Amino acid sequence: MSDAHAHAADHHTAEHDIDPHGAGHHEHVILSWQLLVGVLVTLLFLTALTVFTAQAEQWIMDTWQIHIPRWVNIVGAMSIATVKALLVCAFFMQLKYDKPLNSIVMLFCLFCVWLFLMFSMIDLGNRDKVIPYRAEVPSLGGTGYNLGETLDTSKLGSAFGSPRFSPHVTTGNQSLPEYVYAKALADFEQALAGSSDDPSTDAAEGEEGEPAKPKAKKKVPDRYLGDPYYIENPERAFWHYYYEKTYLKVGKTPHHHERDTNHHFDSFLHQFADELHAKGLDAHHDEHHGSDANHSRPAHGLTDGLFDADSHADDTHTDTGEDHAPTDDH
Amino acid sequence: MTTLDASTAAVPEKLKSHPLHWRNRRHGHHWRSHDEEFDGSKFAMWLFLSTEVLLFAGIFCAYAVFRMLYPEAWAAGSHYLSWKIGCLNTAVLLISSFTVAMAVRNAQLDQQKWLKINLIITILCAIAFFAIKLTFEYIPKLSEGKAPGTFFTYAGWHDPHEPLWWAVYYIGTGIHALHVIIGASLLGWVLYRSYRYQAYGPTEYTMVENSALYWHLVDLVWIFLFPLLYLVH
Repeated sequence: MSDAHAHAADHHTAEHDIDPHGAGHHEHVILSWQLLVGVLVTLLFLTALTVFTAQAEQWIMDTWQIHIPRWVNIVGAMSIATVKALLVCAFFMQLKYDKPLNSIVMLFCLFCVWLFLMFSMIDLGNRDKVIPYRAEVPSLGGTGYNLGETLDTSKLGSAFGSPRFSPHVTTGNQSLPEYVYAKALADFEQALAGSSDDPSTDAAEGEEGEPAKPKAKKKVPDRYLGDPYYIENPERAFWHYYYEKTYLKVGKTPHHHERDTNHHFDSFLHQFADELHAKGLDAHHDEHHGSDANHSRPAHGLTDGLFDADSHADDTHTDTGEDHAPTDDH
Repeated sequence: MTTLDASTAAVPEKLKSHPLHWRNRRHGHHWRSHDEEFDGSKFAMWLFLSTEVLLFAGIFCAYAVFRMLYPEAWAAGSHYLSWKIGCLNTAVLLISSFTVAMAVRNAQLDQQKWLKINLIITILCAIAFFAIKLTFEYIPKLSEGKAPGTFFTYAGWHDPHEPLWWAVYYIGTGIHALHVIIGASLLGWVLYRSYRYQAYGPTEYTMVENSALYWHLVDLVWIFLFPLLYLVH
């Protein structure tokens, strides 16, 4: 503050001075290009480092089945990100050479961000103490459970013509993903029935339509009909069909899936190999070696004690499509 | 230390008396000096940037809370994203941050040609970032039904809370992409004025500096979004 007073006094006495700060523009620093290049190279190196550590964690899991707790990766990645941010602020944004006031503004802002995050975390971390005291039953949200009663009714009324951006979804007593899964399955069964009834019907879009409108009959490829394997494993047939519909139709392989989320599709992907090859869409082989799904996903949620029923729901998933039954809990 | 207006570069004849040429700019009459005007403007920019940080803090807070509540949805969610694309976009943004820092330097040294070149590279990087985001992420993901909230239609989910993951993903990266567009527009404006009037030079580069600060903020936010969305499972 004394500095500011000194400046004010300075201005007062030298009000008509064109340059009251003295000779030259001393606070305008011109950074050398070598310094800027050095900062850029460091930033790129740190980016590579953070990617490498994340991959190393995965590699250690795959190779030695050692589960590194998630927080290690989080703390590591966030530390590197913080160093990168400091470099950008100090040199690219020139806070290091600026008036300290600008840094103080930013530090105060970061203090507010810290308050914001910490109080949220404190709240979250203590709910298991509050909820029993209030004798309430904790329930997880966020699945769009029973959308029929909540989101599907317009809050504004007819005067506004029921403006809404989201699609009309009525999930009944299901969560939204369960509903989506059931709907896709029903679509498949309908298509299957349509194909077996009347094989000459044209294929129609299986995308989202109005629920009220009767759907055109859809056709599935012949390979789904009369195959004893599929008759025995209808769920497998469904995933097969869904994969084809979701990815092959748009001319894409699910290469942007990371390794262990492909497990619905892994087990039959080889069946598509010829077709994919013909379209020049060879799958990424390293991502599809089958049965290693899920072994790298330990559940280390920080709030395990709060919602025990749900926090291990993922353990029920395995690498085959048959076991992908949507969980019952919400 | 170089004095800032030591430049003796020739000014084109038609711009010599143009009011927008940097040599002809004077500070506003309500400021005591050009330096004060510059400092005030920059201070205001930092105040604005701090509000931007708070805007993104809300998204990061939502990320943290939902991550604690639904760790499996978050683990599955980040597996849907390819770190290669994220890494590529990080590199693009870091390079653009460097070029815009160089552009400020060029303005300070009256290197008019390099000022324009660096601005053009920065804007091209912004376009590349946005194109990569659309081509490899938004469009394929949305066509598979991996959409936020009630738009979610992807049957191959692993955790029933994945719509929430996608909501945080699209809002976080979407607001960031909006900032990319705004920042690129600002720099485009700077480029236009630089091209048309040589409007920025050693004694008049506030607009370059503040636009660059905005662009660095875009970079800063991505520095945190990248590991949180792509790397941490």
